[in-house]
Amino acid sequence: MADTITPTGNNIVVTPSPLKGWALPFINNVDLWMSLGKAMDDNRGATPATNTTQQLAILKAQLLACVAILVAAAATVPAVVTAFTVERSALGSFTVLTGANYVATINGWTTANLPEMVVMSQVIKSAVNKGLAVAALAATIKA
Amino acid sequence: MHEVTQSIAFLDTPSLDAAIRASLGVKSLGVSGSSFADSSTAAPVRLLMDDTASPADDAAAQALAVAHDPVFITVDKTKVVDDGIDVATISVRAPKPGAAAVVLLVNGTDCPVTLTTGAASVTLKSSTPAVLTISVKNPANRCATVLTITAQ
Repeated sequence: MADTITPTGNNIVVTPSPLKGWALPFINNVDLWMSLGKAMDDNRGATPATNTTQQLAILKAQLLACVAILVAAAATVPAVVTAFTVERSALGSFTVLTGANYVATINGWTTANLPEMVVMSQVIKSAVNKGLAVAALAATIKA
Repeated sequence: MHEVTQSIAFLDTPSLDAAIRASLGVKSLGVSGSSFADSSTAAPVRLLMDDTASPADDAAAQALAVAHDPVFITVDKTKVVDDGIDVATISVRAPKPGAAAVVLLVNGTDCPVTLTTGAASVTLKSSTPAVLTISVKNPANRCATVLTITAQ
């Protein structure tokens, strides 16, 4: 999603995309990445979203599915999420860490899917940053 | 090669050269003259033409020089802090009397400029890291300059 560029008179203000500034988390588990990718695909919906409300609904469904997987994974895979890095590079692009290799191969996803993956990473990172259990974050999203 | 001259008051050499080449192709060999934005006195510009150019081609090149409506853009710094506070100032000049409106393109987004007596100072700030490319919309025969400001 592109940055927002707003001209007002002779003043131009650039503000970030809501999705910008988050790198992919490094999750040291290929199977988990694949499960997350499948969940995102399964919840994308057969009909492309045509408005913001639909997009948000789909995104919410995707996130909930991912959180559910993470909850399950956390119970069985110790330290599933081993590190997070948030990179806001000078070029304003996402820094894709090791996980990118997995992203590129999950269910045929390409870099075009990065925004979705970034949203997912944002959910995960928020949980870590705020000291919340992933399950608690899921409840927050549901609310 | 032969040359024709045309007196004009303001010149952005690269954009006039590009405009003539776009119109006449290889019949145009270039424009000889230094860009000037501050002179209100017309000065001759040499239009270098290939010998295959006909008188009509020469006239067409001269017509483009007459129609030349340059826009000059400069920026006071190429890097700003991405804090939403630090400001870069883009100076815009469209000095030709009756100059067409100027719209800057910032990463493809239209940013209309309000000119006062042919000049404006446009401020730009960013609250996110970004590489911002600034050019003039519809640049033909107006402005070949592309500015880049990095917010980081």
